[in-house]
Amino acid sequence: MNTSDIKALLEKYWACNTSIDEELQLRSYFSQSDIAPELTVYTSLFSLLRTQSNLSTSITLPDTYVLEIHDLLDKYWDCNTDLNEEATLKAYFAGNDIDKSLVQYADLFKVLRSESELTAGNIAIERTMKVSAPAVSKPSKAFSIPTKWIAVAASLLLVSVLWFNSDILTPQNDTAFAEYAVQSEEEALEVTMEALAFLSGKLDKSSNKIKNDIKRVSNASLLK
Amino acid sequence: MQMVLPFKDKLYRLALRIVGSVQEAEDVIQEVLIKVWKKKEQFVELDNKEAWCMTVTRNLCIDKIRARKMRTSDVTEHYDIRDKTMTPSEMSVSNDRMQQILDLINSLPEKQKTVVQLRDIEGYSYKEISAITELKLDQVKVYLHRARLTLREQITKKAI
Repeated sequence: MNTSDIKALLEKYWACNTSIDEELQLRSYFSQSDIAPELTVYTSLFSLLRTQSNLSTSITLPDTYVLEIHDLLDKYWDCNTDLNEEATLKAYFAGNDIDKSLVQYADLFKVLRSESELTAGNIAIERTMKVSAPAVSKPSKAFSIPTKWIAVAASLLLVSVLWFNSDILTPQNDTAFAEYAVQSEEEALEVTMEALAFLSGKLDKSSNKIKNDIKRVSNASLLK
Repeated sequence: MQMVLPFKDKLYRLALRIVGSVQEAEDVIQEVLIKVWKKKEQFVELDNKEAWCMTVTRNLCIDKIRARKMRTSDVTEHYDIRDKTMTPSEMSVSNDRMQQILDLINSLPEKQKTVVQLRDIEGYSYKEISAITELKLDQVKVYLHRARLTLREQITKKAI
């Protein structure tokens, strides 16, 4: 291909009218050493395009077991896993060899595992140790009474209190509500009116108090 | 999964072009492979598996960029662009030029950059690019034209 052909091809290239084959011809032309001086300005571009198309990655296909864990995780999020499958997930995330694509879930399963390992026994032992530790290091010199004598004294006190206040044990008479019973419609109306008047008075009092409080708050200089 | 192997490097190069770092690009490819595994029944039925994977790769890259607000221009430290067939002196001059052009490509808007990658580096047809990017055929040419125009202007102006 002569220089004028390449120039024409380049014009087509800039106008995006070249075919893939023509673009390969351009790449091939610019990869050789004998390039027309006026075209050398484009050499770097086509060299770059060529080298970029050879970049590769060493990424390998994920391990089948890892993919199965992904499947299990999907089932887990959908709440379709059984206990055995959840145990498999927990066991996988408890290990040290967690795939990069799964690392983000590791903390969740670690927390779940550590929470499931909490035992009441440990807490009880810790508390016992905390309570008993000072007693071991610093023996108390205070006077102490045996527990059984305290129990006897408490019982005697209870019996004597009940003896001298025997009316506590006898049932109280019921309030004679019958004497407050309303006998006629007029009386019922009167009682209702009284009750409503009492309620209205209370409501007036509380609404006035709220108004006063609001006034005091709005007058407060701190809020202005 | 084995069906992905022949075009695994193409996926990687597209991811690298868009996200701009080797680490991120490898993460994207891992995600693509896992997606293929999860949709294995449908994947086997696909006519154009490569185009489907390229589309998924591009979409994941865009998600990553949006999520991490990552800069895509600085890829120079991540991979070696040297042409191993040159002498050391040629290599040094050419490296500078190539590096500037690479920076120029990486600084293009995402769609232009992707179209350049798919056409000028991977050699896809316009129809295939349209399928991968989900852009209309005309739009593909418009984006490619703008990208080439920028490259031409910058190359000739700076005489890279």
